[in-house]
Amino acid sequence: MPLLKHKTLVSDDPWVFQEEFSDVTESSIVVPFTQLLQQVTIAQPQERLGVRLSSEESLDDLIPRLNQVSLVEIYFEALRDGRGFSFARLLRREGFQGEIRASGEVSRDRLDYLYRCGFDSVLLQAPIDAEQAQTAYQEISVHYQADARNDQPIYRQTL
Amino acid sequence: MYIYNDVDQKIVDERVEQYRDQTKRYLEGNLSDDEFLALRLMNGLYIQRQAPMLRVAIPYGTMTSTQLRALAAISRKYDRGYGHFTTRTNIQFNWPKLEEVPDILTDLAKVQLHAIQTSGNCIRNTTTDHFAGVSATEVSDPRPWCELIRQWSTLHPEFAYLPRKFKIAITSGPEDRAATQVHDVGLHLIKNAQGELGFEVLVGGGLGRTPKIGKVIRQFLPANEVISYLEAILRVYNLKGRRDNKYKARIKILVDALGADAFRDLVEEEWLHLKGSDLQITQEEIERVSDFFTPHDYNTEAAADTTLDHYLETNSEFKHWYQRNTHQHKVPGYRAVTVSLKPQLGAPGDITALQMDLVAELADRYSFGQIRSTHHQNLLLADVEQRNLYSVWLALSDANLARANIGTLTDMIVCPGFDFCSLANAKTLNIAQQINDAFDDVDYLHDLGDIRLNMSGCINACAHHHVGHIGILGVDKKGEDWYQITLGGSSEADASLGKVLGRAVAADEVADTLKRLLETYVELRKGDELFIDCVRRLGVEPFKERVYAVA
Repeated sequence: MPLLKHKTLVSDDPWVFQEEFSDVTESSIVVPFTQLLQQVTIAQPQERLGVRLSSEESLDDLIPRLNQVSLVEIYFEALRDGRGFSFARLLRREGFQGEIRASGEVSRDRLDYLYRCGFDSVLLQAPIDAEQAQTAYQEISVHYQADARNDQPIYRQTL
Repeated sequence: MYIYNDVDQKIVDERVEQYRDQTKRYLEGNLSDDEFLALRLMNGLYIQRQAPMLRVAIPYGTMTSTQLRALAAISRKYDRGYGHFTTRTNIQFNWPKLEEVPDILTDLAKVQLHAIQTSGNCIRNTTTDHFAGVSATEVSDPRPWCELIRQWSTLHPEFAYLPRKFKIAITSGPEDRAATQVHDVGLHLIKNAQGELGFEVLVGGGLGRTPKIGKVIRQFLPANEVISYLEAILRVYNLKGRRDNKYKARIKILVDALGADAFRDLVEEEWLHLKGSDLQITQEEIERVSDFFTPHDYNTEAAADTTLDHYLETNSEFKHWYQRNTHQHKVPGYRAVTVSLKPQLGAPGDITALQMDLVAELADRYSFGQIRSTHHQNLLLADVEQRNLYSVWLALSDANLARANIGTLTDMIVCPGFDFCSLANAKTLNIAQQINDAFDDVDYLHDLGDIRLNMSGCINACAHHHVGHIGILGVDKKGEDWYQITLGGSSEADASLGKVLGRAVAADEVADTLKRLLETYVELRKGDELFIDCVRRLGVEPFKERVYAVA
């Protein structure tokens, strides 16, 4: 699956998804949120631990555990499920500094909205070439709203 | 009238090219049906029973004559020479070709129009009172706030995939002509005791399968915080609204499930993070946008005219029209003129290209080059000098746009129904025609007075049947069209939901049923009591007895 990071196609993804949590591995692992919740103590260092949160799950429950992870992967359960966009905004507001990744039902025509809501990376299901990806981010070049990338709405922007 | 600056134009132009590329990829097979569905809906393109349907946004119902002419030209070039105005004050074209839609959007963008978010589970066109700016009783003009909300809601990155569609309406003053109490969010522009401008905020109104009257969640919101507060409401809704059942996905269901108090608490908690932030609208921006809506250069001598009285005395047809189709204006000597899109023959809300051109022409000559579309599916020339009313009437009469029926039974709100819409269960246009045929007597209609009749072809209630004084809902019973009648609804300041009269009636009995209903009203009314007041006083029972006794 192609991975876009900071608007660019990358091939060296250190993160490996694991259905089950395994404490202290050398790899950078992403585990389901339910697995993270089950751990009383965690030895895996924060920089090598990520969590996958489904858009059906509770962001509120994840927030107290943000200091255990350095990647939050938000899994979009359906094309029309837009909760993930708000999840990313709230994660940034909570001060989460790590990587926010989108996966699941995400696609080329949502890339720019995802970026603007604070996603750093997107795991796409369909192939995409570098040029297409660039275009997707440049289609709309000015924005009315404040967003995770720019807290100035149009009426405060100096254009 | 708001005029685009470079930023506004750029966004619309870029959106056209974005959509052109999306259409191209779809036609080449590089975009799945499901994926394209969401994208085209957010651009107002439905695939209907017979052809695609494109809905073009008329932001808060305001248009220039140039824009109306462009719509006429589009209807000729890409469609069948007519359009249909909706209750969201937008216009629909029923016969465009999917592959030509990008070209239509290009033509629209040239006159500062677009189809962005006229459908889909996103924030739709904000609507307002069609008398905004000319009403003597409004506290302040709502249109600058509509425009600010239009900009904020256009291509909002966070709120493009909401649980369901989201509609906002703004009104100001004691009358509510924008049905704000049956909107997802209703905003009432008011002044507090200190004379500061702000909004009373309602949420959770709506029609459809579960009609609800909105609840006040904030008595006074400083006007410059309207964007931050809407952002808080939308975020709570986006996170908490149901997504498992599309019939339970509107915000009204969430507000009901949580209770208005708990919902308010969530919004206020979220708003704590946003109020006073950069989202607060700057005074400079409020002034910039408000400057587009300053009063016209009115003729201060307009009231000195005496010709109007002459025509009123000598021409009873003109007088009828004047009484029903023209309305008070805050400037002496001016009237607002409703262009009736409710002819004797023809679908309510439909308008031909020729008629569009004529209305544009009249706007240029008599009404500062501007036209409004109304929530009741008519057009409005908001600023006509009384000395010009007779000329306007003559021109409108020639074009079949002067039926003197505004506010009467035949000024029906009607959705396109089964003939066009793939969601509909029953036909509506044939029933509208049946009603028009049965109630053609002008004197009788005028004697019946103000009656709001709303008819929807399915439970989605696009024609707001729950809030019609008389509501008609088409239902499908074993392959036949039947019609359920409700009484006593209103979308105005005294908003209420209609009550079911009794069992549904067959398609060929609708007009006769209405006749019996209205005969009952004429018999039971006290003096000049209005139909809605009579229904409220007596309840549904006496009407029910009469209607079904005969059958």
